[in-house]
Amino acid sequence: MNDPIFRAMRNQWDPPPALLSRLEEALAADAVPTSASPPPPPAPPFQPARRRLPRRYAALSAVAACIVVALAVVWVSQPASGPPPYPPASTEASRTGESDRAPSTATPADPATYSEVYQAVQGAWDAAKTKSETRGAPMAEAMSADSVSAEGASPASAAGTGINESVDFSETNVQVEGIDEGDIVKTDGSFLYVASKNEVVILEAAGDRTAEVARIEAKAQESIDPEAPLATDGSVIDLMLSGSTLVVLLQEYTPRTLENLGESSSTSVVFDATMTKALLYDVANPNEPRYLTAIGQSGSYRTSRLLEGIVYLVTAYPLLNGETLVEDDPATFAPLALDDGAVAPVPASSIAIPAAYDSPTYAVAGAIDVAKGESVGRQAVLGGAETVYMSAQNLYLATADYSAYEAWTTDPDGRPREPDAQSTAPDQPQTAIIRIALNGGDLGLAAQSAVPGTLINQFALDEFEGHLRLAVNQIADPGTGESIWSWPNRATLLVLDVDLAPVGSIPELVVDESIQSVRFDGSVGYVVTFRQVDPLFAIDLANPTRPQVMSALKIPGFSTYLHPWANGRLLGFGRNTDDDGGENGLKLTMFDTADPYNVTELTTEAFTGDESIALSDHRAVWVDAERNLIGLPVVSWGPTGTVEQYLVYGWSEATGFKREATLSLDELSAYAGNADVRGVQVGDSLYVCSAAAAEVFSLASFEKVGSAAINEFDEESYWGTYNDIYW
Amino acid sequence: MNGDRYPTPPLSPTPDPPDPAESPPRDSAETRAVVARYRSMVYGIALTHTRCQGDADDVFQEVFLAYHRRMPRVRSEEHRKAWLIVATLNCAKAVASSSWRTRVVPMSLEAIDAATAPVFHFATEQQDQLFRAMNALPGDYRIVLHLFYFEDLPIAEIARLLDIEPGTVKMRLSRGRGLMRDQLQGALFDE
Repeated sequence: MNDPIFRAMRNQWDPPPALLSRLEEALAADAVPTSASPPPPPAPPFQPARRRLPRRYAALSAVAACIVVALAVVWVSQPASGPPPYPPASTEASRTGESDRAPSTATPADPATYSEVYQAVQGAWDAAKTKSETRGAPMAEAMSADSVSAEGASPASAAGTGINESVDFSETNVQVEGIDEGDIVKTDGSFLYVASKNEVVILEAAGDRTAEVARIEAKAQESIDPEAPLATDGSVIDLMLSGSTLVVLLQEYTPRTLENLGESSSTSVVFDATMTKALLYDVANPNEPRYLTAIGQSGSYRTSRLLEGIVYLVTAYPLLNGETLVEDDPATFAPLALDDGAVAPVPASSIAIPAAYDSPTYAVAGAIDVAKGESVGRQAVLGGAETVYMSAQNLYLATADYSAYEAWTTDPDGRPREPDAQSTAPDQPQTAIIRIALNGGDLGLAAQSAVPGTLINQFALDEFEGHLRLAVNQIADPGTGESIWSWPNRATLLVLDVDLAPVGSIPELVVDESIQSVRFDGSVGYVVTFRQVDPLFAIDLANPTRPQVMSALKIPGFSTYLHPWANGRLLGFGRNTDDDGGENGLKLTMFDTADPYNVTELTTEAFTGDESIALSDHRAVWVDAERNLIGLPVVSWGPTGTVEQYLVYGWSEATGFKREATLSLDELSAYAGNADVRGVQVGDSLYVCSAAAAEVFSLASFEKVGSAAINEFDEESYWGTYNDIYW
Repeated sequence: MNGDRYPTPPLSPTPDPPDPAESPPRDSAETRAVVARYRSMVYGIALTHTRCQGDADDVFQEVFLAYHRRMPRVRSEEHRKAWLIVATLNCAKAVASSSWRTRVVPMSLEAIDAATAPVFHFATEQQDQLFRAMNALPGDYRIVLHLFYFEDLPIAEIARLLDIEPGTVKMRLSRGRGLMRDQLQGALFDE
């Protein structure tokens, strides 16, 4: 493993003789104590290993900024056209702590009492009600079927006996390496855990001997809330595996009974997603999973993350009925939390009301210490959580706010406003961003602000060395007097500091195109935009105050998912288009990014296919950079019916992409349009899993060597279940 | 990897001074033997962490004096090694955080070089370059690379000593390697 150079250097690290003599003298002076002498002085004050975050973040950003300066000089030194060096950061020295930062954005206000929360929520409800009355559109924030986007590299977070260290296995494809994201299939190298209906099925991953060893019916072990006896558990949404503990994420629904029917006049029963629960099971012996505890929080599940043994759960909790808010009863207007069998409102000190937010929806973030089996932090913020991005230190929640833009584009009668000679620049749709510091689980609201533009998904955000980079879509005024409804899109890059205030930007990356995919990779960012031709922009972010475009590659079609490969290679997956921009199948592309100033397309492989969940959910992409394999599910709608397949491509520098396998998914189909298919590699086998079944293929030949049935799905029962919950 | 798990060495400050009747007698000879065996390890980690020879000297002093005074009851040589590594890391952190207030933050590679002291010249130019390159990395990456390459510790052990997840260690290793590769443009850190 180790090059002899390391050993050679290690042996030269001898302390200088002067230092050794100094130590010798100190040791000699330190006489052996007798019982009569005074107690020896205490040992030097060692700091405990666990970090105390807020101070350290400030110190870290001071250090990071300086290192960025240093490295920018080193990294970007090759081409003559590199960005000019900028004056060294002198402001970082003033960052000594949270209280010292200059607020360029509104400081989030922490309410001291439930009374203040009530006032804010009631006010927000009234404002939203007014809006919805004029627009006639229902408030549907919680109901939006926003797919959970999780991306990233290997999140192996097992500290316990769970991980099988002798076998290599693939992990959920996540956005940030080291931070796991909840998914429907998890593995520890010996067993597969698959979410199916309201169960978790545990399979032994044993190649041709793969078989089910246990099955968990996931539901709360006791009826928790006497006020909601009709509450019912829905399907298992996601799983998380931390050491030898399985965390099962479950959505609980409550029927909207006549009392809380709110604005709806329908007589059919609507089920609202009311609480999201994390059920913890000990799977040290996967043959006998043991229920431990349930921890929950109000709201519909948005996403989850796992970092250093702490599961971070994010939910969106809308208050659907403003008529039932009672000032004396926080349970009517504050999010609830489930701990140890009891439900109680989240304390007012954990609820933050940002300066300007007018929609009565909470974003709730909860931190669960898996080993301890308890919640260690909660932070609720009035504001949504459409897009969630988590770095090693912060959780960012972002929500689009169209209110100002709609107010600008609509005349008092609610009709589109016509441009006039005095047209001012449009109020952009805004994105409200909230930064919650993780603090090892002791969540705390740290900053909030709003930026002009909207985000496509979580990949459009990235934190690096104390700055938050965003790629957003904005509206551009062509200055031709056209109706605002035909104004083109503009792609913009923004760089924010720790207070979420802008420090640098590329205001107009391109006009008349919209962003399709983004991937930040350290000091370089890649952005794909599309109208008919797909430019792939490589952006230099080494200097946060002066981001620069390094190159723009134009090719037909567009990638919706970008994946840094190795050694100057970037993989793109997306739609292929023909010459006039019409869609024509799917494609994989390998870009050469070794020189970001001259990104080229190494090779591309177009193939037939109409749809793939991998276009919008990065967790469905299986990438094995060591075996040079890529796997993804594809649906084709042909004359004979729908065909669902799992494609495996191999990659080599010499010959490009090669189709290694086309695996039929007929046995796996759960009538979900292959939304629930994952390819997982364990040892020498590839396990293609869905809620219906798992099929095992040899990685050498891609022949099917085994299978295990999980649950029966037929069209009737599938749609029946769906109807019960949602209608 | 490491089949036997042994208790984590104590990390928090000693709550009470040890009862003189109970503490093992301080054996200067034993401490000297420990110094002789582990001095390069402690000094290397101190230097990597603080990037400043003056601070590394202080850390070196403190760690072995503490060892001498506390004479921790160790069950094995691995335990002693782990105790020393954790003590060195903690001490380096304490020393470094107290230095920030009085030191000028280095702004360039040259300044970082200067702070690390030209006294340290390795036998070859390549080793010097490697040392310089490592010093340019952020602390988290530096320490993980150091423990992995210079002290040959397995990932699970590094995770335990630093109190982070093995996934984080792997991440810092691979990213750190990437950073080092950029610095050196060589094949030294290829897996």
